[in-house]
Amino acid sequence: MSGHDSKYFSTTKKGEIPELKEELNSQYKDKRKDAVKKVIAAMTVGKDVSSLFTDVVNCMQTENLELKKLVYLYLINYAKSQPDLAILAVNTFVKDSQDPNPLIRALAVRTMGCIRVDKITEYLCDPLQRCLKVDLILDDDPYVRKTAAICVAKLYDINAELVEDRGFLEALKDLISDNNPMVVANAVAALAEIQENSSRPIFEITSHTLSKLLTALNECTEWGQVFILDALSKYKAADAREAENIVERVTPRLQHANCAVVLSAVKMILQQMELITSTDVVRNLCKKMAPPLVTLLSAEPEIQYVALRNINLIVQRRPTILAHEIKVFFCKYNDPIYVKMEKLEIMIKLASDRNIDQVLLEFKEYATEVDVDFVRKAVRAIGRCAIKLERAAERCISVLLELIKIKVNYVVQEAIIVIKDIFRRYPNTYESIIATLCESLDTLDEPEAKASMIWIIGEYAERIDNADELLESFLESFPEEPAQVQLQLLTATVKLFLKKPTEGPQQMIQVVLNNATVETDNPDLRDRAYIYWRLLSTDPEAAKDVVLAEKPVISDDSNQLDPSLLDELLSNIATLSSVYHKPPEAFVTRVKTTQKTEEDDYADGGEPGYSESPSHAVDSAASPAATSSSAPHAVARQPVPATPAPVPDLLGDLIGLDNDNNGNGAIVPVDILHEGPPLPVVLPASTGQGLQISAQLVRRDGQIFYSLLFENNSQIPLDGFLIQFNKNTFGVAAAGPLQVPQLLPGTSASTLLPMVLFQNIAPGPPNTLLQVAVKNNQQPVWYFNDKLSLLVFFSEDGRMERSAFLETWKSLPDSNEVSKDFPGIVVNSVEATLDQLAVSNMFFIAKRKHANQDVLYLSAKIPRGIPFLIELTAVIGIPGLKCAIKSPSPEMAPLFFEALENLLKS
Amino acid sequence: MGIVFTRLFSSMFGNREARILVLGLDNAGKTTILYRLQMGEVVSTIPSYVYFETCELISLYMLDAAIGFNVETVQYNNIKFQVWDLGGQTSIRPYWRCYFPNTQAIIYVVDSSDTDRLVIAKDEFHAILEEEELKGAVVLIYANKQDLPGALDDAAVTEALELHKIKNRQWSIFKTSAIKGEGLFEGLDWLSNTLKSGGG
Repeated sequence: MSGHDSKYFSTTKKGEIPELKEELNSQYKDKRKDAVKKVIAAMTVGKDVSSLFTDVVNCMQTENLELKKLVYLYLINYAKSQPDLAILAVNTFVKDSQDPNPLIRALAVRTMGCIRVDKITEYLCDPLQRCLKVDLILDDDPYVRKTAAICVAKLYDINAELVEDRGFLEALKDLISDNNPMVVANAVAALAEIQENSSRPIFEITSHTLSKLLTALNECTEWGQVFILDALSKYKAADAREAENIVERVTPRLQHANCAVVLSAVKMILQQMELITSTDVVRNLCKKMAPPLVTLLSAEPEIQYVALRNINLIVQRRPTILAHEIKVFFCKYNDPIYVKMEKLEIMIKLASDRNIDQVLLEFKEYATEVDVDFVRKAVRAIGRCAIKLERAAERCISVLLELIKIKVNYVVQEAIIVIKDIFRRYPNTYESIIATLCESLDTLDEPEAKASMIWIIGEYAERIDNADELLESFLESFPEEPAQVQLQLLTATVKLFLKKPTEGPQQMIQVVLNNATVETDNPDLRDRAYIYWRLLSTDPEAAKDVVLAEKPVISDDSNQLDPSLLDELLSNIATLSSVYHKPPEAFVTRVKTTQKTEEDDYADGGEPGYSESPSHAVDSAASPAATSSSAPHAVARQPVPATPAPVPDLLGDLIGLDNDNNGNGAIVPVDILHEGPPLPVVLPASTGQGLQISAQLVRRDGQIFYSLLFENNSQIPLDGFLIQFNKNTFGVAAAGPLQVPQLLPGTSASTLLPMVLFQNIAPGPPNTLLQVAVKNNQQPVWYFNDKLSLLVFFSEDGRMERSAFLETWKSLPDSNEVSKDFPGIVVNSVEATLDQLAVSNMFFIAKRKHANQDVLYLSAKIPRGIPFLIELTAVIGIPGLKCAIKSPSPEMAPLFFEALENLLKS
Repeated sequence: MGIVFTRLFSSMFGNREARILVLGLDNAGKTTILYRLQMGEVVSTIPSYVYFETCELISLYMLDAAIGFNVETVQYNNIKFQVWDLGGQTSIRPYWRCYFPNTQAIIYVVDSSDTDRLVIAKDEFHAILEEEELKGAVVLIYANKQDLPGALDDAAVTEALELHKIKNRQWSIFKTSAIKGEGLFEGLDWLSNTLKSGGG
């Protein structure tokens, strides 16, 4: 190795970023433009070019529209990661929003809305105000006005208070009366969006706005129409007459080529129809709605699916609309399976005495297809029709019998399952077919089919000569059967015994009861067996009355929705909600309650990293991005039929800045259990004769749990675990028994033990000691100490209004203030710290700067409503944090400091 | 022929724009100077939080104070100046350094009537001079707002800013009134001459 080799370590290549940096600072405009293009290209492929922020922003003030757009695009992407530097762009926004070119004005306003950096939000209000011209004339270009409308909605998401203070909401409402339909549509979209994120009524349609909206409806773009229709569907008409008028104005929308418009119109008409009393009008409307719905089924399969899911809801409410159209729902051989399944569902709903023959022919056909799931569903459909239509039951059964004769295993099993239901629906009518069923007894291998067959045997034991033999054949494998089958076997045997109290059954019942009581782990089975046993041993006659009692007749209510749920889903037609058949709250996290906390959390402190803005624009036909988080337009995901939008063509050439948002962003994982770091070991294996326990108090969904992990490192199985807590400061105690299964050597089990507070409170000054005793059947009692962290007691309702915070702070005497310095703690980022605190239910109230220090105010609440007012003072990046708290219970302060230190240290 | 000459000329001064930063505390008059230089019109700015009431001249343009930056190209004495006017608010001052590379000259603007903050102006000024990247930059100081009563003259401002401490650098100070347009172009004359003679 000679010294010459050092040259390999020094390279003359500078790397991409410095090169780009140099080019961005070039004196030649063309070079700068090329450089920005390169930066955008790098950004698009996922390279981090945020370090070039200032260099790119410096290219912002340019006459060149292309360059400006690129820089804006860059800004939208990186303003979040460089919140401090984002302020450098403010002046350019201010200038651009006054540019004579409306394109540039709109571009600036639109970009401002997309920059979700709280620090500069306030600066951006002035330019926005200029475009909305709250008191003066509006911007004379409709494109700028509509962009401004959308921007207000986005701003509301960042800082609702600011929007209200600035009077933007009023301006937005005024825009509903705008003479340009595009502006009206976007104002409606923005208001609807804001309404969804607010618990107060903000957007209510009055009779005045109603006529404006109805006028704009005919003139605006298809996506604009969707928004207006959605808004109208929430309008409660004053009387039937008004409802009729509205519906009349809207019916032409049913002929629209865009399926989103059609569905929204259907939704709106269905809503208003509730008020219309005249049967003629209703019948007429139903007639009008059928063809557009049918037309939807000639679209692509994906759209068909969406349409079918919606139609499913519609026919539950108003079956008459499609009563004559059942043929449309017959499955085509090349339909995708998900469409077929939905069609079957609707066919069942539409089946009637009039069309049942046709429908049965179809079902029979489907039952011979190759797709197993589909075949099963078809067989089941036949059964459901039999249950639904009494007069057709016989025909249905004969079809089922024909199918059983094919001897295809899964068809037979499925048929038996539905025949059981048919027996329940029409007792003592079709028993003649039992013999046929019994032929295929041996082929049954699915629990549900087995259970159904056993039920039939038990129910009709007196008519089946060899019922005891049949049951006996099942009994051999009793212990291995699934619980469902075991339960049925038990019941069937009891029935058999009661009906034929002969010797054979008597022996059988002994075996079964023994099996089901002594040899099983299943408590359901055991309980049922004991009940039967006791009944039989005390009073066999009473047992007869109970077991062989007449059963109520069933009706087909499978796949029927609860009326109130149906109402809600109907009001959400044409959204994801109506496709999932779930109310929006069930799958979207950003509904009002959670929204509120989220938004307040970051009132001053920046951005929730994960929540993508639900604000979308209804820009052009090219960007149909879904709008609202709680009810995104499902149909909107589909490629839009290319209808040229009647919008000035200046729309077309802007970069689709608004497209960046997700059309399906609604599917946010609702609640991922927070799996923290491994639990601290409280009882090491060396102390516990091989039993190791790790445990910690945790808070989940407002409830305190003791999270425990038992590891059995001993040589013997351990079982019968019990736990006990000593008196402690908060009176923490177990809310229920500890549920830990038997632990074999070398295995472990974890459990969440729900806890309650204030059970047995230890007197004396507060401390963090939690003494726990754990015992099991094999070992002596183990005692160990754990620490109570005050953090788990902070409740979710600890947020205070600023004013309340101030008042409480003032009202508490100074003696209630305790402070402490943490020299070892470094705050590197205010946002990160606030996030960390928010997780532990310490809620951000306000922030101020004092010299170079950041002062943060937070609130928290421990049980019994005792508030903690927290003041944190720190210099960013420099070790040292001062924490002062004020609370009616200052004696808790040491506990608080300890908890805080542990939290921030990690 | 004409093209050849242009090329000759341009090669003499590199066919480039001289990059000039206009710095100074907030409300010193930077943005007004920038637009005064560019348009020769009186421009008065209104910072978003301070309301001007003493403004004697009705402005033709009402611009917001720069929160961020303004950049304009000014042609003077055959030199193209690319003038960067950076916002002077405390919150923005830390980011001045992003603009330091490749700078030929600095115009430091001082509000001569704001005697309270002259100390801060001085500190900021000397901090800038310390910057490695600005080592070769020429410094022009505008003792601005001479039209206001109580404004210090150039000698007093020189004293207050401790300009005598400047070493190894060409500098000059001019009394100006951006609002009246006085003194600005004298300063620019000096600047263009210095730059041409290779000072930059």
